[in-house]
Amino acid sequence: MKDVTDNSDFETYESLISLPGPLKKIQKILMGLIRICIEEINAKYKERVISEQIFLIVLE
Amino acid sequence: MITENDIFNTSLKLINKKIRGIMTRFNLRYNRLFKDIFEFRSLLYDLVYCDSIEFYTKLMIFKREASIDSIWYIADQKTMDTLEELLKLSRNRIFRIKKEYLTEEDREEAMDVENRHPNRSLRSSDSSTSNFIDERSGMSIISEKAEEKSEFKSNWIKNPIKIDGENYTMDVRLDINFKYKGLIEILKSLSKKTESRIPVWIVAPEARMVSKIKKVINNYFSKKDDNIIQQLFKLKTLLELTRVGAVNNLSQVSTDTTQTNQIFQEKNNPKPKNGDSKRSSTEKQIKAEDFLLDALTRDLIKFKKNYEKLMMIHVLGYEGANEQSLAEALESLEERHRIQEEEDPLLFTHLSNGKSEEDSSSFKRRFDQLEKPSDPSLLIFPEQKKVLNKEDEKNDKYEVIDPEKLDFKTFDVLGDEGEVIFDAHQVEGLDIDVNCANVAYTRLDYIAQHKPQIVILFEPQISLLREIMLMKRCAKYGGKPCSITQVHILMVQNSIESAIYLDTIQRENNAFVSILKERSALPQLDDDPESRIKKILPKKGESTRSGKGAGFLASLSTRPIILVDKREFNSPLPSRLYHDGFIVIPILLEKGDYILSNNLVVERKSVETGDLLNSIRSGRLENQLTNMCKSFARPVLLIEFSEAIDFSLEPAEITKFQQNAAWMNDMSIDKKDTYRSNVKFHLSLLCMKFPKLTVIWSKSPEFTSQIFRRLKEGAPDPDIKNFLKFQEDAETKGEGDAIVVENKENEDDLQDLKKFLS
Repeated sequence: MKDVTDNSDFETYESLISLPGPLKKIQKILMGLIRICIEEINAKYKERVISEQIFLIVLE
Repeated sequence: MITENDIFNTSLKLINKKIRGIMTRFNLRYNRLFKDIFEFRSLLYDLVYCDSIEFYTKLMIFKREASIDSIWYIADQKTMDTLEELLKLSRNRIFRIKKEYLTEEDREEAMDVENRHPNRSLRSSDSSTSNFIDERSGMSIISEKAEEKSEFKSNWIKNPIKIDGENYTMDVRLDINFKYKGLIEILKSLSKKTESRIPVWIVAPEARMVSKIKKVINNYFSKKDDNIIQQLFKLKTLLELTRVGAVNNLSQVSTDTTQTNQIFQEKNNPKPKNGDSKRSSTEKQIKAEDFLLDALTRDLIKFKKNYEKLMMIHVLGYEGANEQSLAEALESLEERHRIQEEEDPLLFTHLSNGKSEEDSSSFKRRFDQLEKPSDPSLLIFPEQKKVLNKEDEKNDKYEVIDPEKLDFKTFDVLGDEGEVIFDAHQVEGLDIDVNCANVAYTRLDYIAQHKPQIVILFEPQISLLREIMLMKRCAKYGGKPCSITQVHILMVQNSIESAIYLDTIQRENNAFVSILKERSALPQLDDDPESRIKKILPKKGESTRSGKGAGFLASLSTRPIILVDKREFNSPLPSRLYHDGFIVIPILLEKGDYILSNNLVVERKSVETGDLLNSIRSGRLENQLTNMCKSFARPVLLIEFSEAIDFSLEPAEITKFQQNAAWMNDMSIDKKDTYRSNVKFHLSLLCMKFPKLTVIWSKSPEFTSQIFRRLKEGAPDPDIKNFLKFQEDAETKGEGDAIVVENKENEDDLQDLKKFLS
């Protein structure tokens, strides 16, 4: 299996470009916004599970 | 859900699949949040692949199309501030308006005001776009750090704009995406002065990126231009969009309706200037943008006219038209422009209408087919140059872009299908081809046909890289030759792109680990069945048979036999037993699942499938054990686990309950203990009730096979005829249609078995 990932048969160059300063800021903000949305969804998800449990207990 | 896991996952398709499943559980408000997440995530991509204008345009569209319950409108103050900052930073990548201080004293005074209210500039006001200029100081919100200053290369509009008696300057940045610059650098480094051209294959991640990459290469290598014209057109579109958007946003968001109405009124019916009255910053901003838009529009109209004339002159001149016809053609063109400008000065993109439009397009087509002149600036008439310069002089309001720079080369030449015409040989020593190969078949086909030597991956595509590796390796061992010698991967550090790349590598490693693990769990295939049988057979010479093949048959007859209930073949154990050298005889058994000898019977109960729990609850296990104890001297209850579950009873039961009811999670500890103790209690009772019963715990089928071998040591093989009776009875009585059908299906097998036994 090592043969499959062995790239010694040709040259590989990874050209790494660094993200310009203002873009880093924008990326950070976008990540933060995504995190906020996820946190809100997670909070609602927990709330929903708990309320479902309460509902089932009441039914019992 | 964790941000790093779910957002930086490999593909949007995966996330969609993962999230769509639970989306239906939420109400509309939370579905909106999901949409917001996808939008922000797509912006993370655009940050890498789009230029500043495209990015900001998309952001504005997202904001405008966001529904009222989106995060753009319903969020806490901190989030709203973050959104404002996002808009502000995105806009500042394109252009910004700064107050110009005529004297040093003014500047110092303004700085004092700024220092006294350091937070004011960051605080947003009602409108999302009104934070462009601070209300108090009138200064740009952007802190003018040296590093930011250096990024603004071009300053197209140099003269100050006057708004309410104050001067502002406008910095416009028209820059292409940094990733394209990386591509250009790579191409430059590969360019060599050689006679033979090296075939280069640039792989774009999407089809729409192909034309973009072609345009960029055209601009840099063929036109020697910095893509300015395209950027100017984009900027103009953006300004039109944001100007309308600013007014719309005011009407939607602003709580102060009076102020909004006032702005609308003032915009539609401009009042005479009143220097004393303080206008809102929003209005200032709209004014500044209007100014920029006006400047751009005039400039572009002028350029467009010039471009059309050049085309016409070139085409007519080429076809040998006389001076008179040329003059007439130019005159009609002028007339058309004049009428058009009177009708709508902003409508510069629609050059003509009706029949004349047809003429224009046919002109363009013919023009595109012509051989391009070596120096297009030679085509500009001296008179035309003068006119342009005179017009410039009249415009004392702003400085325009140098007309000399705006020659028609800067327009993209499009083919009949609208595709960008691309010269593969424009970079010295290279034969470039750009395409998008998303499907493995097309990729392999392309490599086989075009034989590229250098591959440039615009996006790190691991799949293609692995395919190339495989081709090279195959070629090494006598397969088809592979021409590729170099692979360049363009990647942006610390971005969504690199995160996805690393995630893909990680998943690939995990896949290898799991494959290796799975392979180690498989039977040793290099060890052939005969040698496995020999391990458990008596030594050679013990057999009385002789002749060709008799040894093998003899060995077969001495292999340990296990009778297995036909209904047990759903589990992996019979297969495992066969591989370990047992003769596995499928048979319909009345009692037990596995018969190892005439006295020894095994009832297998799986914990994973819930068989054990269900049998205990229903009392079926007790009945089965009663029957087994009556007929066999050594009944065995085998409780089998698997690698998927822990080798203990308690979690398995809880898992089973969890499958049935999610609310078990929240059950009290006491209740859980009750369930656990119930199982243990029942098992204890069974052991007490059946003293002959042996309970064996096995963690896997492999382990069970070893136990069976131990149990079989010294024990004679079961007498199959005794146990066939139940099956034959079932056949004759027709007990259960399913059994009959099954028996008919296996009739041949049964006949073979009988022959073998006789």
